[in-house]
Amino acid sequence: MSRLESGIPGFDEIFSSVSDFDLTGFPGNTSTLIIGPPKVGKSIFCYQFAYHGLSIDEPCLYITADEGMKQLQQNMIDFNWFLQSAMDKEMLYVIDSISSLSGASIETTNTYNLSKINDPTDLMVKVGLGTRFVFKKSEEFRSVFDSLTTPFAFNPEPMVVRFLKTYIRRLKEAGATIIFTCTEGIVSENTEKILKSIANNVIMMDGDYITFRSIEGPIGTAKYHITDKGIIVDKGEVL
Amino acid sequence: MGIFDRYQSTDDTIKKYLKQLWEYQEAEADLMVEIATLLYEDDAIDDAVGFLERSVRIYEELGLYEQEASILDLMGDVYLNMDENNTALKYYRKCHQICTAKDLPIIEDVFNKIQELEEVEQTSTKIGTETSTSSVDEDSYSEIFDEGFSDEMEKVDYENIGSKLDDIISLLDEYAIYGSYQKFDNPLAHIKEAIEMSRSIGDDKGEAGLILIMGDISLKKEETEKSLDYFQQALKKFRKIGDDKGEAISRLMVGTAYFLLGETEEGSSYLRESMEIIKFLHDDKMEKAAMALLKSIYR
Repeated sequence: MSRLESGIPGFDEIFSSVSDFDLTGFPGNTSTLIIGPPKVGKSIFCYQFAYHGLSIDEPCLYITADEGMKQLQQNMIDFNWFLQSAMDKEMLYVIDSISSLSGASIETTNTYNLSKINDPTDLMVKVGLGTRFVFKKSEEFRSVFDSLTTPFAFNPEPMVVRFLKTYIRRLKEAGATIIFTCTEGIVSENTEKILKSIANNVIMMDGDYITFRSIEGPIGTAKYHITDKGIIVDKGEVL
Repeated sequence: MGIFDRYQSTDDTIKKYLKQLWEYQEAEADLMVEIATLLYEDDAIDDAVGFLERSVRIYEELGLYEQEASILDLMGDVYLNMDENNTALKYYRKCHQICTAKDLPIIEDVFNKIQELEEVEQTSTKIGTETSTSSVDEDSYSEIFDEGFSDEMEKVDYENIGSKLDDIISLLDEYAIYGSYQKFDNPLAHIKEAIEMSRSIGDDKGEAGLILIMGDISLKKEETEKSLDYFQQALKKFRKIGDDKGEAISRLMVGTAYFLLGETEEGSSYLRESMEIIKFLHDDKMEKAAMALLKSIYR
């Protein structure tokens, strides 16, 4: 299994310590669910993961479902992470599934597409377009879906789950390393169980500790801090 | 031995490779035309057109004007056979432009085709105007039904009915999104892909809307039987999920398709049922659009 740098200081080392392999880093071509209560840094994890990839020329397909493109850019600027040059180099493809809800007329570009959160079929079509675009840049790329919270609010839970399965299958076939987020407690217990079983890896964040179960099985945990440089993970332990 | 001999030889190699590349590209385009011919014979018209389009782009890039013009002429013929006169005209005109600029021998033949088509278009516009002035102006759909169908099918203004159907289908909630797929290259492929997606996700409403759009596209190509099949599928889906608006629109589509196939009684029954639902929905926009459609069908 290939490894990639998550871009989160301290995280890759702990992730590797819970795996059976000697390689350091985030497991490539896998899917990872990041789950936790609101405001614990799930989105920041996504920004950092995507931005670090872009900074080492790994393209990214980014689906933003909670915040529009402008807000996403603004949030990342707060950490001094600027997206424009990646978009100019066509390394970043963003699908914004929330902005069109306002009814405002928004122009799309080569690397920025719109969809509607209450239309999973269209979202999947746009994911297809985005995947083909990013795949042309590199056969290994990152994909971020932040977050499932809004799709769950607008669509029946089983439909979102089916959407997610299709999304993961297609993206993994294309070679992507996927992370997707969901706020804890917004779906039924059963759906939450399904979400955790769909993903290869699960990362739980609670504001103090980041705990994860890797594809290989063991569980690791560590304290983390949100700084003006993003998330920093302390030395952790295997449970 | 000069110091630049090595560069001279590199230059020759590049030239050789470029020549090879040029030949491969020409062969690729020729092959695409062959494939398009086979697909056309197999009734896979959209795919055939797709290959022809790609071959035109290669011929254009390589500066093979005669081949480019001849494929544009061929595409005009394909669209003419599908009764898509405007599109056919567009290709013939493009072809004519190249023929004029490069003094190609097929110029006269293409010019004749353009003239013939322009005459046909003028005549059909005239017929369309006559149909429109003789259509019913009353608001009551019952009165329109009582008037009965047109006896002379050849006077049916397909373009007019098509535009009325567009107005109706655009009222579908999903159309704002899915309708935009028609702007993509190869829209049918995108819509088919979207249908597959909707099936895998279990998005019945999305699937029904997309199938309806497929039907509308088929109807515009005057593939009426095919469009009827799509409309029936969409109707079944909308009924299954209890979407009244979708059902009413599908019934209008089914009724229109039956009418175009000459099965007026069956068509009338679907149109009446649709109007009943529309009346129940109290949707003014839809009622107006449906009335406009009925007026183009009945007179």
